[in-house]
Amino acid sequence: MSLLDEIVFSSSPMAPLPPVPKPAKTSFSLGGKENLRPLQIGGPWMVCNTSPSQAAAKWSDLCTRLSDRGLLLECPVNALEKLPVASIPRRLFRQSVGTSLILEELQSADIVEVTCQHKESGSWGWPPEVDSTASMQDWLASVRHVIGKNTPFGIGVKSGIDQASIEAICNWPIDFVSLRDDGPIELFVDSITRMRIHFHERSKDKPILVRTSNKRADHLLKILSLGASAVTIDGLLADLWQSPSSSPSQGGFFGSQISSSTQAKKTCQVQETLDSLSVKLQEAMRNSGCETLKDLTSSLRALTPTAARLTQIPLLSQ
Amino acid sequence: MSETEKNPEVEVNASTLTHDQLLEQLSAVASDTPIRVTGLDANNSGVLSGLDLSADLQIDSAIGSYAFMAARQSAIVVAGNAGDGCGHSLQSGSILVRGDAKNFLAAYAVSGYIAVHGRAGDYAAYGLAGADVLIRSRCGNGVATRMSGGTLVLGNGCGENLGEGMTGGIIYVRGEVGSVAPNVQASRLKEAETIRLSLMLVRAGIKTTYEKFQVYRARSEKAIPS
Repeated sequence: MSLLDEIVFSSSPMAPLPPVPKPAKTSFSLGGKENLRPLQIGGPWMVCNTSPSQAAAKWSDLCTRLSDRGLLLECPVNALEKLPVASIPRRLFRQSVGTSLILEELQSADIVEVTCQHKESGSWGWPPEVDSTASMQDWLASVRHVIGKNTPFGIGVKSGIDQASIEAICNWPIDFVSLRDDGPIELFVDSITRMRIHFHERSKDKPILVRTSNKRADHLLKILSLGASAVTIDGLLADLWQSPSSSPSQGGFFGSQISSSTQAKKTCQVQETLDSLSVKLQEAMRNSGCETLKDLTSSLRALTPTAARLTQIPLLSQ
Repeated sequence: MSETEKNPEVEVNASTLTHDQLLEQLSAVASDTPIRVTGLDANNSGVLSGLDLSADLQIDSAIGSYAFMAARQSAIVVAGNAGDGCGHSLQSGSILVRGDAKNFLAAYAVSGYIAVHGRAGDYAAYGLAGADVLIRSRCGNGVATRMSGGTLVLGNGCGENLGEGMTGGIIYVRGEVGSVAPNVQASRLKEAETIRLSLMLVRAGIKTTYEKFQVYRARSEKAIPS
C-alpha cells in the first residue's frame, strides 16, 4: 500500500465536516460516447464480492441502502428474489470466459461484465475460442446480440495488462472496462493509470470499474483519483459481516430472528459506512471545487499532484 | 430435423438488414411458417446470435463466425459452411450444417442438437455441457476438450488429443482417432447405448449402423451397465 500512501490529497485548512449528503436522487452517467451505452449509477462505489451468506441477516439492509443510492451490486439474480422491488439495487452480472453463457443472468442484469478469468482454473486470458483481435471483435458482437442491445457490457481484466491489450480494448465495442486489483500494488497503480492515459489520449473515456479488497477509505478515494470511475467497497464492509450477530444461527440468510435493537444497530453500520464514504468524497470534491458527481473522476484526478507525478497522469485541470 | 424438409414459404433477404432488423423480420412471420434466409455470406459474423424464436429456418449460404450463439428453440438448416464457434452456448433447438464447420463447433453448448454433414476443424465440442453433437466427416485436433456433458458422435474419426480435460458426457467414434487424452478411456458399445446413438444418426439423416462405433468417456465417469 506504500504507493497509495505516498499520494497526498491537497491539504485544506481544518474545516468542520460537511453534513452527511443525501442519497443521490438522480443517477449520473459514465461513458456513453461513440454510440456506447452509459453506465447509470448513483455514485462511484459498488459491492461485488459480498455474498448473501456472508452478509447473512444484513443482506436485505445492504441491498436497500445500495438501491436507495443507486449503487451497483454484483450477485446472482436468485439472491434478490425475496426482496421487495424497492430494495433491489442495480445488478451487475459477471460471466467468466471458458464457460457456457448463462442466459437468465445475462438477460436480467442491469450491467454485464465478461471477465477474462477462467472460472475453473482461475487463470487469465482471452476466451479460448478466440484466436485473434479480429475474431475477438466478432465474439464481442455476438455476445452483445445475446445480452441485448441496451444493457451496458464490458470486459474484465487484471493488473499487469499489457499495452497491446489496452490498445485493443480501447477499440472494442464495449461500454466499460473492469480492472481487478491483483498482485503488487505497483502493478495495479501502473495498470489503471496506463489504461486511463491511453483512453484519454484517444478521446475514448471508457469507464473503468475497479475491483479491490482494499479496506481503507482514503485509498479508495485515491484509486478514483488515479482514473477509476467506480471502485468496490467490499473490503470496508467485510468487518461488518464478521460480528457475531451476523452468524446464520442467529438469523441466517434473510432470517428475521435477530433482535430488533441489534438489527437497527447493524443497519446503522451499513449506512454509516456508506455515509462516511460520501462525507469523505464530498470533502474531496469540495476541496477540488467540484459541485456535482458528474465529473467526479476527472476532478478527483486533478486533486493528486503527487499521483500525477508518480504515474504521469495528464491533469485534466491544466 | 430430417432430409425431407418442408418447402420454405417465406423468404427474408438479410443482405441489407442489421442483426436486430433481421430478428424483427423473422419474429413477424407466423411461427408455423418455414423461413428461407438469403443474402448472407461467410463474412457475416454473429448471425442470429441470441435468437429466441420457435421457427424452421433455412439459410441458403455459408455463414461466418459465432453464428447462433446461445440460440433457443429454432430448427436451423445451413446449406453452406459455418465459421468458428457455430452453435456456441446453444440453449435448445437444432442446427444442421450441410457443409463444413470451422474451429470450436458447438463450444459450451448446453442443450439442443448440432449436426455437421461435412468436416469440423479443431476443438469441436470444446467445453460441451449437455447438447448432442454429430459430425459426419473427419474432425481436427483437441475434440471434446473440457467436455462436461452431452453426447458427441464422430462419423469419421478425429485428430490428436481427444477428450483433454473431459469430465463428463460420452463420445462415440467411428474411424481412426489420432490420439486419446490420458484422462479418457475407450470401451465397447453397450446395448443400452445403441438406441441413443441410432437416434442421433437418424436425426441427422445418416443411414448407417452403430456396430463400428467405439465409445470414449472420462475415466472418472462410470460406464452404463449392459
